[in-house]
Amino acid sequence: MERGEYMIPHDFSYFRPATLDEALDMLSEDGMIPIMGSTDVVVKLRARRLKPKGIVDLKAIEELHNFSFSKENGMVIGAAVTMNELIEDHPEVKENYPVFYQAIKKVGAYQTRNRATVAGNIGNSSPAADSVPPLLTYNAKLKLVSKEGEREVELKDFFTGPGKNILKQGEIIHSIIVPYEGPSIGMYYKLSRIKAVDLSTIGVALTVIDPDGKRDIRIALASVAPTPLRVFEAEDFIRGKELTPEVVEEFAKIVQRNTSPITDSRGTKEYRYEMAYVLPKKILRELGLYKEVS
Amino acid sequence: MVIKFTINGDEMEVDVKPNETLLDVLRNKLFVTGPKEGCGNGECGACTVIYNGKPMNSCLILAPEADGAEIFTVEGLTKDGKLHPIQEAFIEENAFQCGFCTPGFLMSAKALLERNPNPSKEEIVEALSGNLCRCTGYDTIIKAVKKAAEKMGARS
Amino acid sequence: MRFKYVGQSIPRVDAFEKVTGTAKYVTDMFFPGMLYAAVLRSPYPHAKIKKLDVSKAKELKGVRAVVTAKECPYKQGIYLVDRPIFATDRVRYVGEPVAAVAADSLDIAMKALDLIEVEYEPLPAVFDPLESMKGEILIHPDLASYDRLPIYNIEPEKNVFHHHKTRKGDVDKVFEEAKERDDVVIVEGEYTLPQIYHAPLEPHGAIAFYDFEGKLTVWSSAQSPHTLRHLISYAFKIPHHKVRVIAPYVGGGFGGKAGINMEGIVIALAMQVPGKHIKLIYSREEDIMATVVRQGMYAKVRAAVTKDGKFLAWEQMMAFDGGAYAEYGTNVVRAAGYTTPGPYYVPNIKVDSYGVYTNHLVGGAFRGFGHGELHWAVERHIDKIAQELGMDPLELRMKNLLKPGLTNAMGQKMHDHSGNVEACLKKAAELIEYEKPSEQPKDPKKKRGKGIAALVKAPAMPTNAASSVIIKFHEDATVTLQVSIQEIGQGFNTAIAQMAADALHIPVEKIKVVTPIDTDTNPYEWQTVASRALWTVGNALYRAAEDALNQIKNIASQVLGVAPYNLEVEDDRVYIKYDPETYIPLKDIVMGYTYPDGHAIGGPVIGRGSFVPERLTNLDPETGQGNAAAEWTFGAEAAEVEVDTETGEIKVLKLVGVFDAGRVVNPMLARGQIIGGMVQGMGPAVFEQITYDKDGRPLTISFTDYKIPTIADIPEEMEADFVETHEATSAFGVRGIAEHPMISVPPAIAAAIYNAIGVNINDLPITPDKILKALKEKGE
Repeated sequence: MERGEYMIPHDFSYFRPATLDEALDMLSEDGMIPIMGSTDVVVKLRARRLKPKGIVDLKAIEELHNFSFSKENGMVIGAAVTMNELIEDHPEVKENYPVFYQAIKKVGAYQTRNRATVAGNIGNSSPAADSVPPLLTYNAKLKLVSKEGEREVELKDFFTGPGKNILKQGEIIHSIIVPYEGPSIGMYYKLSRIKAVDLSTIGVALTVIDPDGKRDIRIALASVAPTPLRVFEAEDFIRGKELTPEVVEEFAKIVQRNTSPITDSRGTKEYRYEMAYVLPKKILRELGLYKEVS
Repeated sequence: MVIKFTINGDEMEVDVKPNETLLDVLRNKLFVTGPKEGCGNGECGACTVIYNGKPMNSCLILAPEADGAEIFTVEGLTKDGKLHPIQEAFIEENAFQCGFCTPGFLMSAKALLERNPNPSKEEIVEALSGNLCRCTGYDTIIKAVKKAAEKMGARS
Repeated sequence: MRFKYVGQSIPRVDAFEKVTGTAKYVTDMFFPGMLYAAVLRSPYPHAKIKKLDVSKAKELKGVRAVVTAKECPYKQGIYLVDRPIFATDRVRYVGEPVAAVAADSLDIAMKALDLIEVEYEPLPAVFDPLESMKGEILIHPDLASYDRLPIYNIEPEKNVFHHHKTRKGDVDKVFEEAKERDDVVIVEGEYTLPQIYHAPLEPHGAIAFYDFEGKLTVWSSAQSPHTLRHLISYAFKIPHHKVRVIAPYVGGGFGGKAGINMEGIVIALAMQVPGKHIKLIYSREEDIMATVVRQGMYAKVRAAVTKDGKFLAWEQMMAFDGGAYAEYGTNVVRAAGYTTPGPYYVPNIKVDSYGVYTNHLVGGAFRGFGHGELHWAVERHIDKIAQELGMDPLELRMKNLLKPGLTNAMGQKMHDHSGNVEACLKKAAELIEYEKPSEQPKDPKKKRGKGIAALVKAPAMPTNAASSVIIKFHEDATVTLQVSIQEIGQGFNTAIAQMAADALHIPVEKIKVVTPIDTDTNPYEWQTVASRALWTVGNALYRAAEDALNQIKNIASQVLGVAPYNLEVEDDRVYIKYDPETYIPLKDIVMGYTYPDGHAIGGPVIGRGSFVPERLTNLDPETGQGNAAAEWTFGAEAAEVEVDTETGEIKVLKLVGVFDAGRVVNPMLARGQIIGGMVQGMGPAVFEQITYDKDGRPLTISFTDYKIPTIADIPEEMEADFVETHEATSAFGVRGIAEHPMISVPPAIAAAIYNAIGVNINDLPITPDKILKALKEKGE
């Protein structure tokens, strides 16, 4: 008879395959779930919101730890690459995807970022995921693999609802592919109750690709809809226009109109709705892209 | 399943279940009780250990995963009965009260000073924002980490 | 007394243990064959239990005991015995214990919970104290039959578990006359705050062991081991000498671990399986849901003030959201009632403070004990009066301070030694540079402002809350000090060692404060609460030291042939005052003196001292007049904030706290109390709150959802300072400061926000959405 204190009141088996093929074999069985940093999964196990038969730990699979960047092929982030690795070990991230860099620095605590992965953040599919809005603005794609084969999908098509996505049983995120479309500036503006280690009340990623050239403004938001939300309508509106107060005003209103926030313990829907209008303007102003007439 | 790892340099072999976390094993099987459980959700940092050189919440690590790991806890800080400079600095600056969060803070601070021997206030804040303390108001903790950096710089 | 150690910033005596991981808390204790407990809780805020069947759980392999109200039909409570250990016929809040299991492992115990069959019939519930006072839904229909201390005034038909009344002067007359006077204004206002959570880093925990002859041992994360023993003895009907409470270090309490909490659950299990240790450590979720929280409050204030700023009359009604059980919270309501209107003199005062049952989480003691709540209303209202009069809020406060010679709401007269709130306010104003307007940031969307608030708090305790101390000398003239105040982080063990060193005239290094507290061996102490420890134990210690020194001098007197009063103890010797060269080493005296021929006199020196507050009385139930307060700590706090008018975000730039501490025993530790307390006050000011869904289920039951300040949230600048008005009722001149720093931070921040953007937020916490809403209403 086992004795002791266990936090997780549910029995399951644990596997740590060394190759992707083995892993995909295991995951094709019912009741098997993959883990990376397990920062979300262990929480759900404790709360008995997940009751898997078995857990397949993907961290021993060498190829999932790959990271590469080139202007031709963009950035490829293996599913097992941790956020702190992206922040500390790969200066290309900060240099070429500054808005994404800002956002992942705001995910959880330092300890968490030593385990948390971007693939995990995406796979968890929370509308509040901080890493997702900037990736949406950078037109990120996902390489998904399963025993049946692999496919590439646009990140914007991945989410289907809070905690829900298009992954099939046995399918995992293999890597995140972020095209390089030129230099970018921007801001990830996260409003939360406290300044560190909190989920966003609202998160707004505004990215400007090629700021000195074609100036392509893109915007995506967290915590204002059932899924992370990119607002193409607003982008289409502002494309090529001079950033007058009227244009920016309209841009912000379009962004706001596309949101459908709810009230929870982090904020009210009214406040979120209001901020979906305020923050796009604020970010453009703070980036020095337009001045308000006073 | 039997796993092997080292704790503060000592090799250990222990029979674990998949539904145990590393924190469960440290505390309840090996009686390494320095790391504390404050939330079990990775939100408070009281269970922070240095895991293969990096600070992590041991409550979020499933025990079997720790096979082969090098784990460092607060129990490993003193050498030959002497306090580590971080411990000295925490005492001198009054950087704790009830002490429950302290083992976690010491681990986060040690890992910080190992990767960054002379951190700025902002870097200290970033490294320690995952460790909650309800007693001190944190300002003496920031001072203690700065002081520890000075002490360690002076000694090396 | 000569002070050599008192006043010094010596490092904590528990420092080595706490930085090496060797300090032991209940959760760190393990016993061979120990069983682990898990608790089944109510998912409903109010429901009848129609069926409860534990038979399947009992059959699960590894399950050793299952208990419900059937086996454990007891209720507990320190002032009002209303809280069942296990729900009987009905549940009254989400999280209320219904059954508990002890098993070989925690996961077995938790799996067994799934096998317990419960059928509930949901009942209509009430969540708002004002709504609840209508009495349409009775939460405790049998309230009148509950045991309680007679000083508590129940109104069962209104769900009221205590109604405190203050009637000083004639408020009605003043308001009536004011109608005719054009030099008087009447100002009214409403102020509210939600329930908040203590969030000690150590969740509550207990281990119980019941033996075959009916002796019970409980290891607990208790702030108050003796009171816990007493309440266990009362609830379980076991004589005191057969109940032993051992309390190792406590990882933060803040009031939440005072009195009795979850211990009854493990005790009930232990009584089912004598000879086994049962351990129950609450998860964070359980700690939030099922211990106690700070009560919410609604307050309505009406004041009559002359146009030149003199308070004539103050009327305040407070309705506390006490949650499903009152228990300890009865006295929170009473203390808030008798202290209103805080550190101000008003000749005519009328206060009605109601403790009201709702189907929210259980309210109880929390650092400041009703005073954070009452001062939120009082200090905000004074700001409102200042705005209406067009007067500076600090100036208005200064005109109405409770100074020596004046009486407080209970009719107690203030003396020169009672503390100096004026000096605190002046110092706080200096530290925040109150006269100098905030420098405004370049970004025109961001506005800065400053605010100030004052406070007073006396220990809220029974009239006979006692302390005692035992000083034991050892062969080498070192000393162990037995006291039963719990070290919960406040630094008591360090401070009391400093005080003992000065009282005994020996080096502090020769003194050890005994840990852990064990009620079988340690002397009686009421509780580790109310910022009373150094004051009350200091007085007991003074007597114990006198007792020990007298014994030493009596023995030495025989040996040296001089009168005891001609002898002095210093460091390691007893010497003759008029001939200091002639002395006996202390170590040759403290076990009794042995002459060269072998015969001995005296015996081991054991000093004994006890103390009970002097001249306290119960309050008159109709007028609230009497002596409930033994001594007062006054203080003032100030804040500077920056508000982003676009997002409503609030950045607290600076906090300062100044307290009249009497003599400061350890400046470094005292500063730590103030800084820590101010940050704990900042959380509820700007974001902390327990929220519920529309069905009354708490939403904020983890650190993911209930946020407390992190290291990234603290103000850039924090300053602590002291005024030191000698406290005449203390042998050491000390008074408490532990709770006080939390009290007036929210009103200081609210005042700073008004100063910055001209809006008043009267409902805590001051969240960004409230700021924006208020700005909109103001037309900006």
